[in-house]
Amino acid sequence: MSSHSIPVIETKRLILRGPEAEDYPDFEATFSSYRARFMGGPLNTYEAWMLYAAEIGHWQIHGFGMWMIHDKVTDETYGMAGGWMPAGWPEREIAWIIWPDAAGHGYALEATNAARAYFYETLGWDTAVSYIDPKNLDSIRLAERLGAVKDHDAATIDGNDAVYRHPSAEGLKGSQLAHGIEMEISHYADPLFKPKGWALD
Amino acid sequence: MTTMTLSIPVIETARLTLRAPQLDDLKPMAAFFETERSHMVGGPRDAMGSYTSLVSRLGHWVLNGYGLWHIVEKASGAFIGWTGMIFAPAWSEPELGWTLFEMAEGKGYGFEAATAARRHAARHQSLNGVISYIAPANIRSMALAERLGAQFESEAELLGKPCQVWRHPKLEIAA
Repeated sequence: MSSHSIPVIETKRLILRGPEAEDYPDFEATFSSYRARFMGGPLNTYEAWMLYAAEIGHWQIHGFGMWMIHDKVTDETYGMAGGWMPAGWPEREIAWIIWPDAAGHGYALEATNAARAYFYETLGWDTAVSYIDPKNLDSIRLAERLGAVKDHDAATIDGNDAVYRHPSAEGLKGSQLAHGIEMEISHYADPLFKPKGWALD
Repeated sequence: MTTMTLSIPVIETARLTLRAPQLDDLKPMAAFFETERSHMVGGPRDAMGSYTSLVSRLGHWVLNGYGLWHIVEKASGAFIGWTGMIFAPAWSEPELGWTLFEMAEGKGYGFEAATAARRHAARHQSLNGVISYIAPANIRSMALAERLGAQFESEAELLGKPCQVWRHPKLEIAA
């Protein structure tokens, strides 16, 4: 007998928790859709369920994994973010997916930034990559907003993915980039905020 | 903390230990899923498919409260297959499944392991009188089902492949 605890992370607008049974329909909806084309999808119902169970098993086996992203107030789910390292991955990956309806609010940025901070500060990782399909422009853009840079020398999963290397734990600490990310997140969190002198139209 | 309860009990039989799947099992599992033999139990799978299958077995326990054990031969310590209850979308009800690697065949291990898993399911998982899905060409599995006292119930289809539903007897369980 054993039980395994998945940490809960709170950010300005979000709460990240381990994947739970009642969140599965939201996961299935996205992974059975075209939205999942860069994550091995679309999947049939069985494959989607197996992958969801694998997301949970990943935490048990590796001690880290993907969190379900919830709205702090309403508890609805927006997607997933966290770490991923199945067999065959050259190194630990930071990954994310946002449900199509929840895109465009900066949730992926806010959640992934918090997940990365957890891996760096609590688990002591000093580096991480994101493996991204070169056609997945939204994800490449997010990787860049997170300060990740294309690493041409790093091993890929199968040659069809681009490797984006995140700034190191040391390099990120107190950096202009880290402040910039915080600022972008707070902008999303409070869209009515306008700096003094901002033209209102 | 979200506490995920992963309670996978260890079951001991005369010659076998049934325990939780672990990462060390991946190599033999991947080797099995590359073989022709795996075609009757969901294979073949590539390396990534075997990995997903392995870790999903732990998530299966968390989500359903039951799942597959990996079978270890006590004498050698070798991982020789799996058995336990399986339930996922497309399953009409929870199923007792079993798979033995080729090297472990012919010793009654399948019977020994499945009997223990079935008894545990009836006693502790409220799953009694369960089914087994068996591929029509899987003669050895049918022989084992018969030996376990199961009876052919119907022809069915699972994940787009034809299969047979076998029904196990309801076990007497002491309170």
